[in-house]
Amino acid sequence: MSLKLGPAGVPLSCKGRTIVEGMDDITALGLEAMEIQTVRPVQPKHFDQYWQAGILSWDSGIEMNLHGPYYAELLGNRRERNRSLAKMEASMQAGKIINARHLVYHVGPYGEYDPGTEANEQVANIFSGIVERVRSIWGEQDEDAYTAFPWISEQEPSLVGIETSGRQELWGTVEEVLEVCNHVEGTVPVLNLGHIHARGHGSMRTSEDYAELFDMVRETYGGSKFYCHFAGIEHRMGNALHYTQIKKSDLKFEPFAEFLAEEGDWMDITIISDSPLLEHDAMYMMQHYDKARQRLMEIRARDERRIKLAKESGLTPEELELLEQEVAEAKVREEKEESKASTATAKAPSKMMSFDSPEDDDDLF
Amino acid sequence: MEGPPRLISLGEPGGSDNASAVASTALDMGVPSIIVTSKHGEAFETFDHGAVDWKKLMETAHWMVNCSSLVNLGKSPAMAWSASMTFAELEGCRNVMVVDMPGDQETISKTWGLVVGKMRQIHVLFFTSEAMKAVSLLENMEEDDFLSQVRAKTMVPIVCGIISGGSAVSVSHAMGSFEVDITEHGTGIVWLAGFLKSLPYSGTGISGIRNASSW
Repeated sequence: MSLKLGPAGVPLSCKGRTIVEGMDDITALGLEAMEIQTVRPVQPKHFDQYWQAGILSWDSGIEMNLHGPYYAELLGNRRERNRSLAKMEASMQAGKIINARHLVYHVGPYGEYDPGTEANEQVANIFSGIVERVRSIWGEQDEDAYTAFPWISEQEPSLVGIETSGRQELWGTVEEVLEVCNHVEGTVPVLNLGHIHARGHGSMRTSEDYAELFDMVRETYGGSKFYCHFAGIEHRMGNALHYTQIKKSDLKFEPFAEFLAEEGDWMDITIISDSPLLEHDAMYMMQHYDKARQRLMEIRARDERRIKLAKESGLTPEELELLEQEVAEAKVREEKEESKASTATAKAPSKMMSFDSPEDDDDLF
Repeated sequence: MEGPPRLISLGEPGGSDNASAVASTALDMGVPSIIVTSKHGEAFETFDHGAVDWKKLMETAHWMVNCSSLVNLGKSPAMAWSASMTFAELEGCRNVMVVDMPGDQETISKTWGLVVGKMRQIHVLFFTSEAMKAVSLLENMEEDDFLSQVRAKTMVPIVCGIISGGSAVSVSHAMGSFEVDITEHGTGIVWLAGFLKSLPYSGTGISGIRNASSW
């Protein structure tokens, strides 16, 4: 299994504020991915910074990803749509320079559409155009560009990620995102687990909930590569209200960590922390994942020992388990009897003189 | 000053910025407040921001007030601005951001971009009327619907701003929007200080916000 964790932006604890300085901090923390927000308007100095980050990511293996504008209105009228696409263009250009593996976009409100096929078709049409544009950006360079951007010739163009939304009025349920991603090559679902949890009225509670979600994605979309966002979230009536740190939310990371440790062997997953405590929560997730793996390893080691013991004593593992159960039950019974006996003894009136009499409160010692 | 601080702000030494104005007004209203700034004789642009013990300051504080124009004043204020919000988030202190016009008005795009990067940490976003005009233009949003749109798009719990030429404040929250007349308070900053004073004790839901806003 491959799990990459990282913050959505330059780490908060980073002394510098540039992306490259942020990447240094990420490496020092043992994280392996980063998602950066496109600044607007993009100026030449930003491109210089992006290129340096691209080179560093190429050399160090840190997975770089880019988030498009913080909101969009792709299902709005022509003016709104074009305005959103114009904002997205900068991130598409930056994606090539920074060697972004994913470009993440929101769709925005349903606008004049009702949820359903028509809206999904419109989103699919828009995203085919975006994928085409990304590919043309990656394709349009002269020979010198190959030296400056070695990843262009050796890597695939950035994948276009469509993010699930956290509010009922915004396009982007898991089903909608999967349907569009299924129809448009070059797109990938971006599972924002905080949003999914909020939109599902707090649906992500146990490791089984995660198993169901990822099974659904695997069955509908296929593949083993996943790109997710995780943060604490406050929600009400199926709508995300605002992001919080993971510890303060009812969306816990432990069940997700448990699912990843137990059933995630087949997955290649990147989890971006978009909590207000960016890298702190990314580290928190890493610790919980490590703990879950440790726990699982202990369980497996115990099971292996049981099998070994069973073989040695000529029993089947099932017989040994039954035997262990009987011994455990007997022990419990024994303990209960012992505690009953000791209670009875304590209650029996003692004939001995006691110094613990309640009246004896003038004892200085 | 006796007792623990309940409101902290990061501000210039002279106190001419909006964050300091909120803190000093709140102090006049009886809210224990502290303005974090450079030491006497130290330039604010290059002050030793690493020496500020945010954790200790925020132990009992409820609000951390910042204003957007401070980020343009130098590397040190920008670092302190960012650090204060992160420590506030860690220590359970709520962040308030006053979005105002920077000295160099051309840099509003950069300033707003920096505020957007911090949105997840902000609990109350307050726009001055000039900043509201400039940012709505920048974002191609109608001014009438600007605050609700910003709230919906950024998920900041409370977004408010000065409207009607300074005589009212519009407040947008997940459960609705409303306007409050502030002529009796004089300025939006005074209203904000009173709002922050009342909000923690005004009850839950939209009625709590309404009660606090008409303090």
